[in-house]
Amino acid sequence: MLLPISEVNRLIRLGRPLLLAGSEEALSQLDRGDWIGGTISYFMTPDGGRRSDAEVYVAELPADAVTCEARLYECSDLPSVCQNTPYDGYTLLILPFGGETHQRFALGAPAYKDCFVSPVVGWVAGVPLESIGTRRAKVFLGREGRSSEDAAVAMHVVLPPEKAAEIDIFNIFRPGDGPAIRFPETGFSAKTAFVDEVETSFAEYYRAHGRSGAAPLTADYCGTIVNVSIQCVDEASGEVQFYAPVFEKAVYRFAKPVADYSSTFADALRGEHADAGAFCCNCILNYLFGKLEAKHTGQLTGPMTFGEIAHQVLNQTLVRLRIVDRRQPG
Amino acid sequence: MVPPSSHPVWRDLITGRKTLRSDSVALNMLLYNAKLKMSRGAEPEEEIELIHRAHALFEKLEFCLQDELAQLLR
Repeated sequence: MLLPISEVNRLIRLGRPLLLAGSEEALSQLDRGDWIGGTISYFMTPDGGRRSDAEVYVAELPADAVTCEARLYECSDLPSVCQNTPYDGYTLLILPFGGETHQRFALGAPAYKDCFVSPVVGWVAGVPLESIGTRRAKVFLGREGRSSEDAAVAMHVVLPPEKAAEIDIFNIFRPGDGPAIRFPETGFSAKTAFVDEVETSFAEYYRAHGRSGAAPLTADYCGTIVNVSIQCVDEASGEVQFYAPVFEKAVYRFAKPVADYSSTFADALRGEHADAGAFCCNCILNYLFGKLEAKHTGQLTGPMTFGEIAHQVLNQTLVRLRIVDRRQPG
Repeated sequence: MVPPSSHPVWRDLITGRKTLRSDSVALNMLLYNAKLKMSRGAEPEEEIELIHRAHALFEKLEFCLQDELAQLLR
């Protein structure tokens, strides 16, 4: 829910552990307390997509959480995020866009010990779109009244033994019928790619085939489709820049175009999929390319972010955390 | 019941010789990353680590991976 600063400060003073998202100006006005936050000004709300610099998005931690521990991670500590995730619980993680922790986590998380076994969910903090390149995203550790452009913040949450955290994703993109694309190296940029096994200038391929930034690269992770979004073509270096890394040996295909983001999300989030969950976020690129301002995307609310975290960093994807009953196998 | 990590089915799983259909994001991502690592030529100790990760995920999520377990042992 989006709340005015006075109301957020009231919740902070009640001592409730909170996950917050808002503009730097808004987050800087909050009292010290048991919260973590990251900068973003775009949100999914019950009234549709919306920008707000004055309000703060609040996600309260589950009422039945046993403990919540907020802490800041410098880059060198980042690999321990998964190991520090409680076995009966999960971690909410916020990374500042373009910071060293963003780069390191995006590249390294799949290799971290306990990654995928320990649910780590969260988002990449950003800046107002008109301020890209002039302002830096920040994360906040409320207990210490501290903010950072490079470090990450995390909330480690312990659940009762009968509960479990489950991450699911809604990706409106599906792989297109184009050629298979592989990259020679893991990274946030690529000069060349193997397109149907032929080494090619990826920037030239991208331009020649009239691709737009709206259609991400997709990879089929054993049935889960993972996107990597194109940021730009760097004309000076001839490299294509990505919002998340491509991985060596992974097979990518450009996604099929999506005609109507709003109705596609709304259709996907009906019935049993309508549950708002304990936390949810969606991508700023979906907001932008899907023209989601004032449009509904189902009942889910949360920040529209510069990257989503579902174990690893994703793009153009709606991520949701649900707390489920840990049923014993029959 | 989750087979012990010494069971050969785990190696088949991380190399892609055995495939599963699952809605679990965690399982699908773990298996895809394991297969990528194996395709890049994992060292024997890395292979053991990947097997332990897959086994650990099944142990932890046994309550919701019953269908995947049945596929694993089919």
